[in-house]
Amino acid sequence: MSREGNPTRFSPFSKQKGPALPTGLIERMIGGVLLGGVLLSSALILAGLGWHCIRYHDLTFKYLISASTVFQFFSHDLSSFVSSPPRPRDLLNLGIAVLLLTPYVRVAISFFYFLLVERSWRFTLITGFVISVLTWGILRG
Amino acid sequence: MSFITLILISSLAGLIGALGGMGGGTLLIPALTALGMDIKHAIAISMVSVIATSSGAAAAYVHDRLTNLRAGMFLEMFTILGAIAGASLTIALPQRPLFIAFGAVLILSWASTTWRRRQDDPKPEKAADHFTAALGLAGSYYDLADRTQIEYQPQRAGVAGPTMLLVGAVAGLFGVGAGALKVLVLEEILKLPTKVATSTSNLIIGVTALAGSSVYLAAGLIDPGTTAPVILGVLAGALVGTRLLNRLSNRRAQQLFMMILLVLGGEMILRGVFR
Repeated sequence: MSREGNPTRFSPFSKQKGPALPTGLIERMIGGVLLGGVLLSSALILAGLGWHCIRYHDLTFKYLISASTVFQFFSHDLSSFVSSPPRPRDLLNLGIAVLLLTPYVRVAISFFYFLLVERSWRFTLITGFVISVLTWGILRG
Repeated sequence: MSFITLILISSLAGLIGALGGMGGGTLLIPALTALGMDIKHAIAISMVSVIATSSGAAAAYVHDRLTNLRAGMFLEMFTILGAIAGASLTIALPQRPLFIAFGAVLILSWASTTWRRRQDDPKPEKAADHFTAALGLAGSYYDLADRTQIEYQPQRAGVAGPTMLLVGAVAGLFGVGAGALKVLVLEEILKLPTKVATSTSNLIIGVTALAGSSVYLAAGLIDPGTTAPVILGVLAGALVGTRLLNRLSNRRAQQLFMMILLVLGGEMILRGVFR
């Protein structure tokens, strides 16, 4: 049965085939960020797992991270990746951090779009509020 | 828990979740806790995996202009606050009420999905109230089934917003997307067409999950070694489930999912009661 027949079964990762409206700038940017974020995150996690498997002949990672904010998690991982010899777990952490930051980047892009392109003060305020709360969460936890 | 077990469990959760039109978190948490994982860790891990599945789905919907971006961004203001409150409550609560409440949410999702499926009548067109009209949420999309451009006018945004605060709290509290509840609000209060409601719900889920995840990460509940295979497993399961969906009978897949949802809901409540 086609998914058009029952819209409540509309499935993820699917694309509508038909004469939809031409995709606008904001749709292209948001769609690209979301898809790119998920693909990059999955690639980093897969690379980390593959590297770990080759190096240790084991796929199980036994380590814990202490309580941290998304920003600390990302910056700490990035700095250890750059400054010291990289380890498989750094790629794994980076993959998770990229995934966590994907919706954040999406909201940030929307904010700048409404501010600079559409010049809608209502939606600049709305997305500004969302990005402020998320930034607080990322920095303070 | 071994890597293989995690991949298998999360793939299965993602697959069955996609067949039922929901995310993997709904089934992932009962499965992980059944294998001995602490419920708070399971909720935190599930919350991160929700970002992956919802972002993948939202990317396609947004590109196809099915999503009402303005409505989604307006409602996100409420869901993120709810998610932060819900996740903070999970950290503070003991395990027992979490099991019982999670079971109740599964049964509620089952009931709301069953009820929503019976609503086939077209909704009456009404003029938007002043607040909703001022937000400029009206939109249109191309319907493949009817081969027509459908225009719609959302209503009661002032009611839908605060209601989403509660839905966001449910998502943050239990580490799920709460897609069934979000779609219910978008359809029944905001009066969005079903396809638009489903796709807009996906957009909101990712940001809501980030708000909840930031609380869980700060509490040290996100273990990367466990989270990474779960992300991959749920994503892979959702991809296969989506492909499979087109080959299976809609009714049969839905009946199977609804039965699983009901059984797991009852099982989680019993585990909480007899804990």
